[in-house]
Amino acid sequence: MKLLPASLTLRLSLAFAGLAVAVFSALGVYLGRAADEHMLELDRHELLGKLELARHAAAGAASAEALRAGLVESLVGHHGLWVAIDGGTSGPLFRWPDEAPAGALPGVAAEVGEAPAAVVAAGRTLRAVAGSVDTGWGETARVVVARDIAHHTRFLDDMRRDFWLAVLAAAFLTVGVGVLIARKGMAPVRSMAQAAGRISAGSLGERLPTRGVPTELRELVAAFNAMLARLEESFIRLSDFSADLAHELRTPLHSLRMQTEVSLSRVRTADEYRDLLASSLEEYDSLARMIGDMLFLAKADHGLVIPQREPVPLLTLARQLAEYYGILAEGRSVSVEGVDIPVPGDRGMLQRALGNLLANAIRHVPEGGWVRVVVAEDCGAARVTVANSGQPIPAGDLPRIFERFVRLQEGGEGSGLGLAITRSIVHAHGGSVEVHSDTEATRFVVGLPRS
Amino acid sequence: MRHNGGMKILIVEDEVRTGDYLRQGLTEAGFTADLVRDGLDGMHEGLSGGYDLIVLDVNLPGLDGWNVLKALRAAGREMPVLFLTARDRVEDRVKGLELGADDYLVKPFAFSELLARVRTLLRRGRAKEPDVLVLADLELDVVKRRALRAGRRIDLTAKEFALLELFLRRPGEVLARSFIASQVWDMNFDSDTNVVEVAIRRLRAKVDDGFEPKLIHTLRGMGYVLELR
Repeated sequence: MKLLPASLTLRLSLAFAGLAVAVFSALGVYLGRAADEHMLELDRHELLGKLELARHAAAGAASAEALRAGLVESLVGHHGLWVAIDGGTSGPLFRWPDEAPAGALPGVAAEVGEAPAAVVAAGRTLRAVAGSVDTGWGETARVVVARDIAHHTRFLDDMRRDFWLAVLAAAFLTVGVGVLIARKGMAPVRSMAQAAGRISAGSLGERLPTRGVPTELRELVAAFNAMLARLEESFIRLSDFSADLAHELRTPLHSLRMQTEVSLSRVRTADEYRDLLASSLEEYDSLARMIGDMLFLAKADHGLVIPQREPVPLLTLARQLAEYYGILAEGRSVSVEGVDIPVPGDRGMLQRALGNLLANAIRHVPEGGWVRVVVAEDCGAARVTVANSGQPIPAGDLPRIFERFVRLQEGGEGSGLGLAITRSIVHAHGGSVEVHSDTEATRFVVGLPRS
Repeated sequence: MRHNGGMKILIVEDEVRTGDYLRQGLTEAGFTADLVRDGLDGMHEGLSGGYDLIVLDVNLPGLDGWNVLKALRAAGREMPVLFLTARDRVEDRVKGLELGADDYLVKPFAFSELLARVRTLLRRGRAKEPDVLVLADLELDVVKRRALRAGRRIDLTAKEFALLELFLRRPGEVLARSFIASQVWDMNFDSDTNVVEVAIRRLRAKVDDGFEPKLIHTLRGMGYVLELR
């Protein structure tokens, strides 16, 4: 592939030129052959005609003199034609015209028959036929008729030369025109490149124009625009995320600062100081937890969360989690059922992933409602469904429920990172998590591969 | 505070404030705590100081924590080592355990968590714990699975029993919520729910309500402690 020129325009033009040369050459070879054939046919026709004429004249002539007279009469006016007749016993009977090549003819054309053959006589290239005739006086003679083909050859050579010159000119012309055509054809690509060049982080909303784009490039433009859309989406998400992160960190810092400042503004009792420190400690804890969660998610984003692989029995895990979080149930029923399917995974991580789902579910259900965990096998994979009878989640909110810092209820509890962490852990295990919500129940379904 | 029998602990930590507070905290918890601030001093002290336990930061100037540990183990010092690190990476944890560290804590951690782990490490290999645990008029028979307060039987669920046993085996120790969750429920991640709070409230209702003196106390922001005040 290294041999191909880098420019597409040049590549196309050279291809055009190559094609033109190939086609013209083939045509030229064909036409040359055809011309050769044609000339040969013409010569044959004329030579055989003259041979026949000589036979006719010989048959009708009573003597060598009469033959000569008859032939001369019919050959007058024919240029470039040589005729030699030799009697079987009487020797040379007739030479026409009385020039050197005619004399040499019988010698050089001794092997020639009625099929035209090329011979060289007295420095001329001739085409000759020969045959025997029965003369009127009873002798068998040999007639050789020859034609000078120099002008034919010259004509064909000229024609060939002109033709190859024309082919060469055509090749150059095609390259030139090809460059122009290819340039013109590549214009949409150049304008695409220019349009793409104008797009920066600040203008990810721009799209390449699709109007007037040739069909062949439409797919490319569509793919490029789709890529831009994806980039824009991630970019917006990242920007939002940074803003959210700053906000999430600033809020507890602000309250810490406020309470410390206010507390220090006058002398207080030891109990008041103790309270301040304890409350600060709680804030520190939640900050530390959030930073820990953020770090976990950042690592997951970079594929650095590598779960250990040991068999984790899911029903046992779910039961254990239900026992723990069930303490918060108070008037809600929490049930676990299904089959104990072991999946290869990191017990701590899976505990955390399912724990978040269970804690969310219990949080989401009003008193008197239910939370149900079902572990089942589904097409060779393990499926854990955490369902709750809480208010349905609006369909519009479902797609972003696993995003960071998304809290669907105003002032909702938790860091807003739980579901994002759950998703990261499940993905790190090669599984998937989905959410469905209707009036009957909200279901989180975790699929985990069994191997 | 519980008497810790004059156990000697060496702290190797280069962060000034963390080091100072670790020393203060451990000293106030009844240990004899010494602080050094770099790896070379840490190795030297660890080899010669006759310590019962070492709290070792991984990132140290001079000689890092891994090499200090390697040198100690190479010299045949088998005292428990608790690693502290700011980076929670699986390979770090594995490396630490392979080199012979006994436990591992990721910063930021709760001091009460560190204290609990230090005590667990120091308790290792001691004589068998008693089967009947007693504090004031509270009695827990671990074998018979029976709890008594002022001679009266208290009905406890299995987890409540485990929780009370944990407290009784560590009287006077502040137990962080995360520590309780991991010891009683085997929940090894830091969750922001108040499960432990609710569980303690229920246990308290059974153990302390209607009895004097109260034994289970809340240390706001830190955790819970079982002691006779």
